[in-house]
Amino acid sequence: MKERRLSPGGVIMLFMPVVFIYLFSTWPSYEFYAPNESQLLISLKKRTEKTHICDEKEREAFMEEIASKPKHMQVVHRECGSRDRVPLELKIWLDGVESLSKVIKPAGIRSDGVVFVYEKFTFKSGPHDIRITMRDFKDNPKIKVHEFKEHLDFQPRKVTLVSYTPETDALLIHK
Amino acid sequence: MEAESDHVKEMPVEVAKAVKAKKAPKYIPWILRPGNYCLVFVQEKFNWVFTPQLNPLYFLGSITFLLFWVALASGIYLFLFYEMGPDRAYNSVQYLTEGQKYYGGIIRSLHRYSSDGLMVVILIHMIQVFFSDRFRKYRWVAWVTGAAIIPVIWFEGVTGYFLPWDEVAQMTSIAMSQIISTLPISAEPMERLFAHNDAVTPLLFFIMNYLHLAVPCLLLILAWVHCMRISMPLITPPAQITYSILAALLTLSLVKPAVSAGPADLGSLVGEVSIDWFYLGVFVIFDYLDLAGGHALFWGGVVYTGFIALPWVIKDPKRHEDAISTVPQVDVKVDLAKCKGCPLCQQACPFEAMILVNRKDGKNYDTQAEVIPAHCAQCGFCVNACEFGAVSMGGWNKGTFHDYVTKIFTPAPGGNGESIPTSIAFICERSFNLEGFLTDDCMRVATSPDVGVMVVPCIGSVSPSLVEHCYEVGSKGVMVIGCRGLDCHYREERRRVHLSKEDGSHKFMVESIEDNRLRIMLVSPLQIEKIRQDIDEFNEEVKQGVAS
Ligand code: HEM
Ligand code: SF4
Ligand code: SF4
Repeated sequence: MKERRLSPGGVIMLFMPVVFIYLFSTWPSYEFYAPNESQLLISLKKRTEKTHICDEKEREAFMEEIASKPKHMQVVHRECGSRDRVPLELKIWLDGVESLSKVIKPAGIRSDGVVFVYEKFTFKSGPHDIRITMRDFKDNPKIKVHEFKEHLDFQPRKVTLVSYTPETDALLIHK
Repeated sequence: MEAESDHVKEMPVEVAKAVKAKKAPKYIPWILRPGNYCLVFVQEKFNWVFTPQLNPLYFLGSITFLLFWVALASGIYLFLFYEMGPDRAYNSVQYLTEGQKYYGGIIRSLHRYSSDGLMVVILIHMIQVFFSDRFRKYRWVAWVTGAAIIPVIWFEGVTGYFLPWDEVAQMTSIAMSQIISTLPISAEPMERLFAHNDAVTPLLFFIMNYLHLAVPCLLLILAWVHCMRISMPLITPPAQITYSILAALLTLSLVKPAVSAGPADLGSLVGEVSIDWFYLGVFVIFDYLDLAGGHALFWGGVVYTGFIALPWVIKDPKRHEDAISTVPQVDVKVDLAKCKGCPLCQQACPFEAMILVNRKDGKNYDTQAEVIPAHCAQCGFCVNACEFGAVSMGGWNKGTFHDYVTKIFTPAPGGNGESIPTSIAFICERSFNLEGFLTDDCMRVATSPDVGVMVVPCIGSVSPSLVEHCYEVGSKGVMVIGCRGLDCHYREERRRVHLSKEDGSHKFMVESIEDNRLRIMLVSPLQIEKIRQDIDEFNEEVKQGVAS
């Protein structure tokens, strides 16, 4: 009953999936970024201020309250003031045009974590004016505004990363 | 004889209905029919080229296993040389590719191409089970686990493409983390892990490496559940197919060794790179359409869930009142009064639906047979496998089958001049379109009135003792006509392939009869004329064989 044919058609059929895999395992290639593109990347994390900060009086009251409790209940790491923190306001201008304006909430269900920022802008390589401002989003005119303002020459297919560290307390280009 | 014809009179009502049958029932839901037709057509072409015994389309599940083993074995070798850390990862893979060109390099290529093949083959496997209507009802477990396997295999491929830490890995990690960031898993955007070169730590390589090792374990578990309700799943392809695939993979690896792109540098943008479309194509689509990960993922998930739920959406077509069906496919029953607790029906069942449980009726046997209705395909294999007539479907058991055959070979009472048939054909009602093929009472082949017919749900329900009974009541030959290979809806061919490797002691297999009066014909639904000829030819043969 067994009939076998090894025809050219059979060989072709057998090699069809092989050729298929041969081709599509690498072809066609794809260009994710053109040679004349550059990228500005802002990636940082920042701990913003608490929504409520204790003044002198409140702090005293708080310390007293803690001291009045039995020793094992004096939770050492608890601090005076609210747990939750304010959002962060981020604004970015590219060549004088406002390209992003965002208010970002801190992480955590109680908004008590840090604020994470990850934003990227892709544009034609060459010189560009970059301005970034960042401040804790709070109704307080005295609050510090971090500003990054520079005229940069963006190299083709290069990523320029602007970051923030609490040590320098400034927005800087990551080297 | 007297007692027997009484029995014939008492046949279930369904028989009377079947005797008037004219129309061929439709088994395939209408929505699958165009795809089903194309599938049958393509399978037919492959059968012509490879023969049904070696048709790779009939072995896709087992080919998937083969490719998986190749990927696993080659992966273990690569793992031994892989080093963790950005530069070390790239260099160690480069060393395998260049430094060990003729072993490490080839093994890396085998690893890549077997994974690509895996994706291709499971997609074809899925299309095939879908359009051959093998994914619904009692098959839902295989369908759902299969559908779950696809994204898992894809994810495995993505973790694999991370490991060489080349430009492709860079693109993959950023694209993948963009997608993951849109999920509410962590507040920190995952892309920050890839913000600059120093952000990428050896720990990340450690995690990815072990993910790449852990996912196959998950795959093995899924594959096990996948085959859980399929008895005797065929997990190794025939030797010729195995060798051909291994040879093809090796050729591919020699002709086009897998290589890395340039080393990853997060301070630069990825330009033009080669893409493995089987795994990374989706990232290209995301990039090209500028899709936001979250939305695409959400809608993709919704569509895919709908797709997985298709077994509950697509329903059986309505059967005609006058459908051709000698044996109705209804609930299977076990008559405990006759059951001896032997394992025959359980062994015959292709879907693990018949089980042996502890004896409950106090009889002196250890076990008794029990059907799990949700697993049961109503294929009828168990009905005739039970030599004691304990299993029945719609009133049909071993005795009724035998009586029906007796009736075919008994002259009509009034003597309407019709001759007694020479031989009998058991025809699977799904194997080809029976409309017009049979006489109106479905008991003869229309063009060869010499050939009696019994239409069965599947030829797996024809047992050796039924064949012997045919000889006893005067049949000179017996034909068993069913589907080829995977075309059999109830995996009868699987049993045959599987059992042929064993000692052949399975009493319910007609194959155990070696006799030239028995002919098993596995036919193509597209060549009805040939079936007619073959039936005629065989009938002539047995006629003369007995005459001489
Ligand atoms: C790693 C991937 C896979 C492996 C190793 C695999 C393997 C197998 C094997 C060995 C069988 C039994 C074949 C037989 O003996 O009749 C089978 C059947 C089946 N597979 Fe898969 N499969 C995979 C993926 C899939 C996928 C992605 C789907 C669909 C979404 C799928 C759906 C099915 C169905 C519905 C059956 C039952 C068919 C029947 O009962 O005739 N499988 N598979
Ligand atoms: S084959 Fe018959 S006797 Fe044996 S266990 Fe099954 S039902 Fe009982
Ligand atoms: S009818 Fe088929 S699937 Fe159902 S119990 Fe019997 S052999 Fe198993």
